Amino acid sequence: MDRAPNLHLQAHELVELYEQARRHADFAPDATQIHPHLASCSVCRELFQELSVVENRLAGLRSSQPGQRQAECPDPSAWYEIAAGMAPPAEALAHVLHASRCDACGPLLHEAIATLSGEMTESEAEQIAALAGARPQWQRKLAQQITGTVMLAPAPLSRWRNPWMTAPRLATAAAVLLALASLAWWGTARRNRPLSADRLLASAYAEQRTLELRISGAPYAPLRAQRGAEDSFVNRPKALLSAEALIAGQLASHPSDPYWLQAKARADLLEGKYEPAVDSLRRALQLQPNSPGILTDLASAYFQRGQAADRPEDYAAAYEHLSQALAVAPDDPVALFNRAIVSERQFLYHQALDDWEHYLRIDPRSEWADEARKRVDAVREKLKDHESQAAPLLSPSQVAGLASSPGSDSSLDQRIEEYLHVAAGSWLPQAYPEAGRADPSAMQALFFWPT
Amino acid sequence: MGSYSSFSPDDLVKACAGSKNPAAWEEFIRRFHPVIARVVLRTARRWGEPSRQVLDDLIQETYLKLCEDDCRLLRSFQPRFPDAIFGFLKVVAANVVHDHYKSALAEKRGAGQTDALSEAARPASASPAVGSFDAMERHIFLQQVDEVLTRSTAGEEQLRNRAIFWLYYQHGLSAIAISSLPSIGLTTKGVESTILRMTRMIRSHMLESRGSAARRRAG
Repeated sequence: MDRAPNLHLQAHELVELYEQARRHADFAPDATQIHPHLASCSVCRELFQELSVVENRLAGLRSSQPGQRQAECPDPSAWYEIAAGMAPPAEALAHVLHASRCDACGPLLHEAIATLSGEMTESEAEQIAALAGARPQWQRKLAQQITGTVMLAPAPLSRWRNPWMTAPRLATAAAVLLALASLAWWGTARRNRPLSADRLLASAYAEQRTLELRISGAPYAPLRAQRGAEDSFVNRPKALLSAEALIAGQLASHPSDPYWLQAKARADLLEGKYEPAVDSLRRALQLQPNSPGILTDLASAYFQRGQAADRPEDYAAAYEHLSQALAVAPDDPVALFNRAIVSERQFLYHQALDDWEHYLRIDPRSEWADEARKRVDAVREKLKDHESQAAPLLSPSQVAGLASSPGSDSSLDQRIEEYLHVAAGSWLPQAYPEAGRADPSAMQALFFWPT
Repeated sequence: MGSYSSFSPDDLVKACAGSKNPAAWEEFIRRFHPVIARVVLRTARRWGEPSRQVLDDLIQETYLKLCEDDCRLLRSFQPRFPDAIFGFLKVVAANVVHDHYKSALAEKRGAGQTDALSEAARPASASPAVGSFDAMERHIFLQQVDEVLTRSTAGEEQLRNRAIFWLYYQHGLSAIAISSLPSIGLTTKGVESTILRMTRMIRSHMLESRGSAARRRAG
């Protein structure tokens, strides 16, 4: 930077001198020792010192606290997608620019980067290595759960009288059972699973039975009025409130435990909150595929939701899940009882009757059986009514004759689908045959057909 | 297992999304566990000090989220760049953890208050206090600097340079952190160089505007 000492320094020269000086000192440099011109020119010296002020002002721009979100701020979850490169580049850059100027979004982006980027620290590595999830057995079991290859089917009692069960084999089986029990440590025993939640929910169910369907373990109770989500909590059974407190506490520390998810869903069902019940049970089912208990409760949640929201497709889902439960446990009384009711709701009376009869063979004497018998009688009555209505359809000439007597076609309306079927399949070919003579009464019936 | 361990990340994802093969999933969990566990740990720590049990559950929850609706998330994943799956899994894991804690908070304080609570839980706006002289001065200075930055370049480069400058000065992000953003598209050295260039330009501009006045005063 050779120049005449009396010439003023240019801005870029001053900046260059300032940066050089700052590279050698952390504090504001002494201008008089930097350049001969600065020692003699107060104007340039003042400007040089101004650079320290600019630097301080730039340093003072730093936000010290997060600001309030504004209407134009993107959803907070967007920052993770941007930090991970999941958002489209142009959109991401516009959002990053927004965050760079926004005291609310800037810290969120900073947090997202800090969470998603950067190498694993030693302490993180140690903490992760200590987790159960780092063990190959845990990973294998999870893979099996995800793919539904873990089956929990109960062994029939008759096995114990099987000659195959010799002493050495029993010993081996005991050892295997012990190993399985150890493997299940993280799933059940470790969580100190109390039966009290089951008992409380069963007691709440029986105290004010609001569900037509059963939940396993609950004693018999007559059906009362339905409870809605808006009902006051003071009307809820005390046992339900206690169960909810217990479940909330346990779920906070075991958010992915199928047992507690199922318990929560049962509480939701008793509360009349069917949507969250469906969600929880679907998650529980992912964790424990093919569990008859979860499948049965999920069916109940669908059934209740279908009833509350008038969604017939939910009845079909309920029927399907109960069928899956019965495929695993064919004599499960609760699943049989519930499927019979779901079948009735779908007008599948023959299937309902089959399930009721199956149920009564398994449980012929309980109070539930009394309810089942009443339902069997009702279903038989309906089938009888239906069959009595199933008189032979009118012939084409009779239909044509009805056309001349106004108001007398209500019998046709009641069975309109059957008549449509016959008209298409039989009357039409008779009225307009490909060969041979046409049947005039069929032509008349089609002509006078009330539709 | 041997065959799946030789699969590329994208092929492994396809294998898992398209089937219920336990060997493929075992390899998936084995391979992606470190990245998912790290994000779960870091995200959970933002909400407190999580127990091992909670961390294990949240990690498991992340895998289950990926399997939901017949692996809908995995099936819909379209890699935009090599190894994009890692970023995708990180986002899923972070969202699972946030959702868990938000819903726990909402349940604790009563349903339907989540938004109001999260807003209320935020500290008051940035210092200095809004409306104070310092705040106005800061605002004016921000505007001046941004005008200089805006004039310096155009197009996408301008957006990128301004974003880098403000992330560095206003939010204190390091050059490494800024360069980790894929949308910035620069290495750490590139970000450092941009910050240096922009800072130099601001300094020069500030001096030029003040210098001419000072020199006029001095005659």
